[in-house]
Amino acid sequence: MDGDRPLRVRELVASPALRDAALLAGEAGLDAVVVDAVLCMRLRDDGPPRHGDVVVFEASAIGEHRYQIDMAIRTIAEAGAVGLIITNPGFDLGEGVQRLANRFGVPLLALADTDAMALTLRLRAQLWAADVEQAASVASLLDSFSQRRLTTVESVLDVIADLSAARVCLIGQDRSLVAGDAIEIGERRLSSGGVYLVDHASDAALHSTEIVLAPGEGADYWLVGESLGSEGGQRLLRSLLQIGAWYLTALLASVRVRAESDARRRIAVLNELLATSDLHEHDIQNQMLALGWSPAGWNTGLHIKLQGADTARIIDLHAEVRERLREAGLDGPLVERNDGWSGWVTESAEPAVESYASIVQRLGDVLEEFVSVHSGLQAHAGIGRPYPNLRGLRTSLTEAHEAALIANARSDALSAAAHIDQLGVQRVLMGWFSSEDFARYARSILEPILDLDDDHELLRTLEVYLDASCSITDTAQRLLVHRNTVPNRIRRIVEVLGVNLDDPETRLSLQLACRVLRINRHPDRTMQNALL
Amino acid sequence: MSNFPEFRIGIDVGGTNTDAVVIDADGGVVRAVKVATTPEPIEGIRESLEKVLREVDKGLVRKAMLGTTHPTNAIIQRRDLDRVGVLRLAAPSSLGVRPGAAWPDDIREVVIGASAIVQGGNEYTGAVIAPLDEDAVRRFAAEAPAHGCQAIAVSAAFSPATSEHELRALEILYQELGDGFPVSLSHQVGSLGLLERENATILNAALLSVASRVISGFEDALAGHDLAIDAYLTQNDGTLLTAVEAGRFPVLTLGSGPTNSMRGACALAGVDDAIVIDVGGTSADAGILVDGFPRESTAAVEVGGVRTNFRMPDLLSIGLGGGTVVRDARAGNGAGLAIGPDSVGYAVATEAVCVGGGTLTLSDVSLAAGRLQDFGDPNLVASIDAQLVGDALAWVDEQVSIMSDRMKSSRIELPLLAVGGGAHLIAEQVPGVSEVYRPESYAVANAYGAGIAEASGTVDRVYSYDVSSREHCLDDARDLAANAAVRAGADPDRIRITTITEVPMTYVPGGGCRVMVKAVGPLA
Amino acid sequence: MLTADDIEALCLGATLLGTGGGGDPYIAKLVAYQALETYGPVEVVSARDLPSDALVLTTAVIGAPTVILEKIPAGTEFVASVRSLASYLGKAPTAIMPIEVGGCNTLFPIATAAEMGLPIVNADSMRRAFPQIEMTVFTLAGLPAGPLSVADEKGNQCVFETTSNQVAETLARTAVIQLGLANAISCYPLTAGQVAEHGIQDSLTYCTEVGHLLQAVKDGQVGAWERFLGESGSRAFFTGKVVDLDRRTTDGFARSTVILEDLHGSDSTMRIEVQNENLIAFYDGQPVITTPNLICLLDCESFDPITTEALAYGNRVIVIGMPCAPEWHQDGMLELVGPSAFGYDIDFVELSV
Repeated sequence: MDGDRPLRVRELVASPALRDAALLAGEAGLDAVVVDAVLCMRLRDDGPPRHGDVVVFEASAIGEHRYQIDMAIRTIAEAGAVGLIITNPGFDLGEGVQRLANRFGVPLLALADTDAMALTLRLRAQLWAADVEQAASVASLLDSFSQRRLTTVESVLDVIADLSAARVCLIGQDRSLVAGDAIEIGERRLSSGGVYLVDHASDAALHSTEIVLAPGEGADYWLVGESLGSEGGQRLLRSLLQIGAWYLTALLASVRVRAESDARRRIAVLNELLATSDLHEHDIQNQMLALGWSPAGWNTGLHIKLQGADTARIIDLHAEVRERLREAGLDGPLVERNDGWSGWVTESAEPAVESYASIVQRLGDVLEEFVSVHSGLQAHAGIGRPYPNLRGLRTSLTEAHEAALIANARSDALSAAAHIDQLGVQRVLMGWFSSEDFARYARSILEPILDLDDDHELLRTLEVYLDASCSITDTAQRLLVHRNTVPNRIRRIVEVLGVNLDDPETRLSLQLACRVLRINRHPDRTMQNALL
Repeated sequence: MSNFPEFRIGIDVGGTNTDAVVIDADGGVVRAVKVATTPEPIEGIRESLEKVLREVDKGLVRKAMLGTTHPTNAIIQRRDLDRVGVLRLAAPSSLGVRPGAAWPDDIREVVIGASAIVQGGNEYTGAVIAPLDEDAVRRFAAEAPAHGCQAIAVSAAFSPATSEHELRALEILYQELGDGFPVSLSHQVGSLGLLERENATILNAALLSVASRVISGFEDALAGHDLAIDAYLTQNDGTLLTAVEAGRFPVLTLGSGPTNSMRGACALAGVDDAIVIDVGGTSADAGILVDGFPRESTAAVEVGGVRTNFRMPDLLSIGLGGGTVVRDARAGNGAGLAIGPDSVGYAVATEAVCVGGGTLTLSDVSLAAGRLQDFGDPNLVASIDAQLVGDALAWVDEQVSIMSDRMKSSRIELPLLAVGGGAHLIAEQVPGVSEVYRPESYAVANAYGAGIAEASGTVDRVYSYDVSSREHCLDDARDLAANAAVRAGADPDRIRITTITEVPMTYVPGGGCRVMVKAVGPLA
Repeated sequence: MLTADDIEALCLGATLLGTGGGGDPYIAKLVAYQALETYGPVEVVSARDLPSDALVLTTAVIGAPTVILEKIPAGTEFVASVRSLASYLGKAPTAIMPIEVGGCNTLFPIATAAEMGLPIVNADSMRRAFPQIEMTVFTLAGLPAGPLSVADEKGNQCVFETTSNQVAETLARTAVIQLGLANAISCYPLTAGQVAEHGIQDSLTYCTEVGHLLQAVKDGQVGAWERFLGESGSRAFFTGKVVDLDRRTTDGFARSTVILEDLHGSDSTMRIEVQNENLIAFYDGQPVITTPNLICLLDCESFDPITTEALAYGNRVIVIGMPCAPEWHQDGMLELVGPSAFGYDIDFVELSV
């Protein structure tokens, strides 16, 4: 684009409109950026120019009042305007005027036989050429929006990419690609705090703007564009991305609203199923059928406990999780919960006990892959035994929830899956863990190291050490610390607690106390409530 | 330019020396001599002519030009001046200021024998103020010789525009006193400004005898060499008067010395526009040449204390010369260096430290710094403090820089001509100066300047742009000036207009404007 | 008493107050000298010391300065202008007063007073030079310029009754063109009481004092420059060299523009707009001194006031701003003698000292 902005005085002077003008003075100011061209007929009546203006001063009418040119230069310099073009002076501008222009670095041009108004309009047209082109692109985008042709994120991104000749994509909270061109984001900076951001760290400028679906919260997505284009191109991309972001916000919000509405219906039915002791089986079955669910057959319940996300995120991720489960052969209803998802698979015949390991394996794989693409998330799942029909479904779901809690409590990994059947003794312990009395007791035992230890370093070391059957090597590996660190910390723990770790009773007591504290560190009362 | 060889002689009578030079048609110096100025200057003129014409083919000499300080010295010394009767034709106007009102008493007593303001003169429109009072003129003619008046100066209001009353008064004076009686008319001498023109006319009348002696002496000397050629005198604008005109208007030759010096120096250096600084023993004089002519001063010029409206070369003098005394006052009160303004003058050749004298001068400083060469003994100045030398020359450089800057009429860099015995003081680099020239034949620059002078004609009158267009008026003035130049001997085909000055008449609606035009051309 | 000895300082002061115009006082000085020599010294009186109903008449030269250089006043035309107005009014004048203390009109009335044997009133109506006769503090006070008389040296006289001071200006100029452009005018016939109430008092004393102060500067007395500025309330705004001089004539006004570059090496410029007198000074495009305050140019070395006509390229000058007489500061000043009265689209600027 020839009319790329910003345009400097030097470029304006070289343009055809000023071909016949003589640059008389003020060359020091030629690199200033021109914002606009304004016409001045009478100095005092027209008001002061603005920053960045080039002033066209029609001099044929000033007659003997040549001092007005001096005053114009002064006014221009004080206003931060960037040039003075004298039209039709009809006299020699004289050395004084030139000196003054040089002094203030105001480029001074003189042009005879010129219609000042026409010249001003011509200069303005030149100055605004880029903006006119940009405005056309923006208008085209707005037009597309207004005609509701763009109903998917992908189509919106396509239009923006097309108009801006740039690569455009939508990425999620975890910087993963949601839609559009695969732009290498890496560690480049993205917009935050509602500020439009252009990262110039590499050759291609990376533009990003946040998409916030719930005002006051952080970004849900980023609309990102990458452009190698001119300054004008960059400015256009920016306008398009900013407008596109508004539209995408609306579009994504409406998608979310629909998803939330579906989720509410599902959870309402599930709650009824789980909470009603005296089952009106007929009513529930009808409601389930309305959602396309059938409890007839052997139902294996499963529960995925998700950490690191709120309910809105759970709703957003619902489709993805469901798809992943389906691909893993765990095809069945899936309901959004406050702490994750509940779901089940229904089979016509009772599954063999041998199949339990397979389902644990598959669910474990699904979650491992899931957390690997969503940084910051942890997912622990429990699986219930298969039971027949509606009542059986409720039992299996309750078991699955219990198993998920235990899986979460006992596992250090980001993801894990556990079957209620594997948990025998641990389920007994789970009963203890859940009791407030034992929790108070555990806290009192461990109090001395909790007081010392704000980030629970000692507690965690003790817990891992006991879980690793007092192996210093294993403990060091799991904690990612040097193996000399472990005995040091253990020695300190022994001193502070005043216990003897060689005593198996003591070890057991401490191990249980640690486990109780871990569960209470991540209490999930909302889930408890949801289950009621 | 003629194709056959042709020589001209230039002679300049200065305060100390009389120089003569023979110049060929291409401006080359054929021969130059220098003799001492004699108490009776004509002796020196004769001697220099004698010497310069040796070994020159006299048959090729076509013209001779003389520049002389005779008239100036006569006025300054109030010597050999004629007694003048002053007749002003302007009553009833102008009665508020008597002729000679602002003159110094001594010269007024010597020169003004009688004065009268009689009815006559014109308005700016050309209408008469009053009809000329011819009886009063006759009465004055009768009285003036009785007061010892040897000449009469006649001035009428607005005579540069309308000279009828002055011419009629001349007729009457000739009738009464005889045709040969010396009379000077103001419109032939000066420009607008009645008092100043009247003063110039009185001085002119007072110089008639002096002039006639110089001119007849010059012509006799030429005749003595069998040279039956045209003789000219130079005037202060660098142009020529024929010997006959010079005899009638000697006042126009006042101040021709510096002009000839500057024009000669520039012509020898081959430049048309230059600053000229003439550093003598006591002072440095700066002037400027524009298109080969000295720029004229705008200030009123006083000659011997008498205010005139001559356009004299614009000169600037400061006390800086080879003999300027340098005092090292730092040891005493720490006041630093004291330079001048007193000078040992031309006694520098005996008084300066470098020639064994006892006075520290700028010449010693210049020698110590290596600017001055071929003068004095460097060993005698070797002990001068280097700091003192540096400070003194820094002062000199600053003064020279200020002088040249003050002479310049624009920011454009001009060459500087350093001339005179103290020219060594001028550094090789001067701010605002493109190049420093030191013309070699400068010794005879005055005479050379006289020899290359051209003929000119001027006009100074008031036009009304309402009556005819401005262009028409300016054309008319140009024609009148060119005609005057031709009458003064200029080649009609090579006349150029050198200056046009328009001074609007303020407070008057109607486009009244005073126009001054000067035309110049080489002698035909 | 005012004698020939006082003329030199008065003349220097008058040139300064001429603020670049006002007519060269040189000829006026010679006329005044001759009159004082011929008729003896003149008594200077204060208007307050005269009977309040005493008639005070003014006189001044009116015409073109260039013409006056050639047609020197006779002295009689000033006397004639006063006498014809007195005769029209049917009352003899008690004293003469200058209308314009600034330029040549400071000194001609002194010659007239000497010739008529009358005292001169130590007051005027401008205390600087202005180009038109209605530009007086009397106009601000609503006092008429008429009836007024114009006389030449031959005995031609005319008396005008005018309806406004602007009409008086026009009529007087018309007459002057017919009478040879170098005439005497007598206008603003006033009583001593009116002069005491509305005139600018002690202006001849002021003019003589600034003349003496400036003479001391010219003589190189220690501290004289500071004393000159301090006592006249003036300020030196710029010391510069003339780098551009543009003279042009439009509508009968001699307009010029003078551009100065800073002698001290900065790249600042001063621009002075001239219409007969120096009217506006711009420092780097900003008006810093405006009429009716005085803009005076002094030669850098000699400290001589320089008139616009004498100004030439390369002149080194000091630009000083002098406050106008305090009597000017009243309603109507700006309309009468402010920048807009001369067609400048500029606001009046207070003189900052």
